Amino acid sequence: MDSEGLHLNIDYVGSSGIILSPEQKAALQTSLVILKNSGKFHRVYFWGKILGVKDDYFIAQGVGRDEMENRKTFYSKDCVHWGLLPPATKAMKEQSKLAKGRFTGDPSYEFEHTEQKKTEDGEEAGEEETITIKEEDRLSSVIAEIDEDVKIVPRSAFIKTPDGKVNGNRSFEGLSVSESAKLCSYMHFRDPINLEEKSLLQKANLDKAIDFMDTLEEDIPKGSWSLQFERGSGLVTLRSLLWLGYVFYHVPGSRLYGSCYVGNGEKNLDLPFML
Amino acid sequence: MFVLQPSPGRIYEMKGESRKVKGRSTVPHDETVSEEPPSSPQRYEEEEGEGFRELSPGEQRCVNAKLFLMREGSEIDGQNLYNHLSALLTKVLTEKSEESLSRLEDASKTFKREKFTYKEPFIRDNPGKTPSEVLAHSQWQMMKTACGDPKFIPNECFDLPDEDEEDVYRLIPNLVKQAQFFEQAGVGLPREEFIRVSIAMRELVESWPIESLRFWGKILGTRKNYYVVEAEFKDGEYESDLSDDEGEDDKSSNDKIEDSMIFDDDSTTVTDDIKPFYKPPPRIPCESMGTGLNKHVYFVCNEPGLPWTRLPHVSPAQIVAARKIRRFLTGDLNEHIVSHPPFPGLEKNYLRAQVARISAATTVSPIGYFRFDDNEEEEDTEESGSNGRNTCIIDQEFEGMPLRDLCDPTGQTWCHHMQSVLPQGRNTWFNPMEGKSGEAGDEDSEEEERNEPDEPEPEVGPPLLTPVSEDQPILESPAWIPRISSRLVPEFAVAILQSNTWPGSWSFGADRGRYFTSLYIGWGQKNLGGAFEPEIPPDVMEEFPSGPEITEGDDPSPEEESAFKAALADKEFDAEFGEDQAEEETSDVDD
Repeated sequence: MDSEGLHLNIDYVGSSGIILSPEQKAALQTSLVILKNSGKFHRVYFWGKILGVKDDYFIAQGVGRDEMENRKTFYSKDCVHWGLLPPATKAMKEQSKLAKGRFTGDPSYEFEHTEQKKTEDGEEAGEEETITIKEEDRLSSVIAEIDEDVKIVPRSAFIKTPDGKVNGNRSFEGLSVSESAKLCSYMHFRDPINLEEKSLLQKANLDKAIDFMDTLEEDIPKGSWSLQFERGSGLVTLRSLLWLGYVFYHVPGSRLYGSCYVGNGEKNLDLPFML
Repeated sequence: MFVLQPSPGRIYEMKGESRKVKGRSTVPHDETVSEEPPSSPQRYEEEEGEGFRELSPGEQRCVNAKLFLMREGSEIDGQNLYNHLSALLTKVLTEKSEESLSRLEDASKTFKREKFTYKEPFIRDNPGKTPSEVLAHSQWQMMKTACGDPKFIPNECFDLPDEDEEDVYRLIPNLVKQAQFFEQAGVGLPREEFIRVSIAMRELVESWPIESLRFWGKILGTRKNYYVVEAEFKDGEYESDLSDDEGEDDKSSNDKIEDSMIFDDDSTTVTDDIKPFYKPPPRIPCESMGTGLNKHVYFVCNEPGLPWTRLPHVSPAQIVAARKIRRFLTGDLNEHIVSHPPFPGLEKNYLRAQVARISAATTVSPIGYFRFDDNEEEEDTEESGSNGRNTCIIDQEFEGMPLRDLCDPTGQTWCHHMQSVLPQGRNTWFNPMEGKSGEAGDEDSEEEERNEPDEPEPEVGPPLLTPVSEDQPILESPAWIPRISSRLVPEFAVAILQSNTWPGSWSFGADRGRYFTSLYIGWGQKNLGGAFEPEIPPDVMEEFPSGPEITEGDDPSPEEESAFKAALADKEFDAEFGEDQAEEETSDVDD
């Protein structure tokens, strides 16, 4: 969620169990402003918290004018000092899937994963390959994966200009109550995957400036999002069941929306069993 | 077209204005101009004076004309032509301007616009209550009843020793204080929710015989959420609503027996050898009311303000089944759970089972706060069996421990004060053989010593008040993570304990460990460490038992079949060839 109104916006996700202590709020309010200035960002978002064993990581993201590109991720253990995370490459993502267990809280910790390589004849006497994964890399990959899988925005909150830049829509007035009850009014904030495969007939009704992202309705498995109205119909909360701990909120009829992740950083692979 | 004509016998005069018109005794007629008003008072006088009389045809036409003009137009509500014309004419005559004729239409339009009256339809739209209104209404009701006289200050503020016995509201825990500590640690729910739950708890103390109350936490569901409150009833107040569950279980087991009897009845096609081997496992009963897992009673509601529902008691079979399945809660208590192995109950039973598991695993307290009661008699300790003591009391002499000890990362300073759940699904071991023979429970120890081979091994759980460092770790991370809540102001921080086995369970300890409580906020799922492995269905029963008469064999594979056929063909060929050869040989011999 936007860092500018953080102390107010954090109340919206409170019903999912996400709260910040007063001291964390105080520290974040100051340090995020400094981060924004030093990094020359257009906006800084408080991304969330990843809980570790010894310590938790607070994550913030800074973006330029074009919100889809050039996202820089920062982490901090005490909300005061921020460190830049390396961007996640494909190799890093593959490797970090092998690391098991929770984050320890020490960024220089190395997870070890041993694999036995079998020779082609099927003999068991293979070499043992130990892959070490640094916690920083794992953190960066997990954050990238969460963004890729579940980061969502309301429809028409962002506009794609003809030269391909994605900007915030200044005339976005918010979704109505009936629109916010439907999953198709929310879109994944990433490069589209399903959009290309749609038939021309389906694409005819879409507006190219607004509908350039995948909607939530095509998510597999169906039911991996929990949509709830809080305060009667005054606040709509979407919780992801794939990454437990990701919460998106929107106040229907107003421009307020945001999302936050507070969790272990573990994907819920048992989701098909649980629905 | 109806035209007003002056009747010969009457002179139509406008009151006081006719002198302006020169050279005419009658004003030229314009259909839009009405000339009725001056004549009507005349007629009235006549009628009043003379009573009802027949109108002359001229007068009749006059009256018809007037009535026509007074008829309401359909486009202009509440307006009729008569009023409009009279108003227009009045305006023209009062203004006495030269431009009246050219501005006549404009004046008429202005009148129409300004005179527009909207008649409210008698039936008003009722937009209905939005969900916000419904919720706000129920919460407002709750707050209205709770809102007392501001001049009344309850006794608790002054810590007067004579507590009013009838004041049940003192049982409500100080959620505001807890909210503050949880917020300091950065966990929990917003303070407003704590307040709402606290007010909603009043309803509970008013209607149930509660001895102690605790806000257990919030379980998130896919459609709706649950707020759970844990309560202990006063002694002797535990009603048994097990009777419903028992009836259902009996019915279902009866069905099973009937199914298996099908084989016996239709014995025409089926021999006696194929009775199913399956024997359902012995049914393990609940512990007695008010003890063990059912010591606490749980109430849930979807939102504070909505009515509370009491969760039914939990049975061991449900705990065992709940361990094997992994499900999200939907938020609807009467939802069916379709799973493998089949869960014996609805969502409310599953919820109760999860709540029981979480409570048993995550209710912790600083070591030393609770202690065993040394005054317990010997018989009691034996009766509780090999599990050790199952009750503990508050140690009045607990001095507390410094914050650094409470935050000890190994977790040695916190201990469980609720009994753990055995694999059987109960807190205390129940010997199923015992139930059959009908022996009393206090001969338990003797039976264990005998330990006959067909008797199941008694299950033993960790004794009460074991430190949390003894809990099983998950993969490589410890089961419990204690931490200090603040970095910037450590002098006034609290210790916060986070559970790794049940992510979402938080406990804090403040005031040197003398003030502590636990809270659960999460989805109600255990941290398995790895992937969830569902139970595999049992093996398919063999249709016929293998024996000397009947043996099951595999069908030959295509290669085997073709090889056999080839061998058979060869044999036949050999046989034929052998005959031919024999013939040839004989023929040879002949030749």
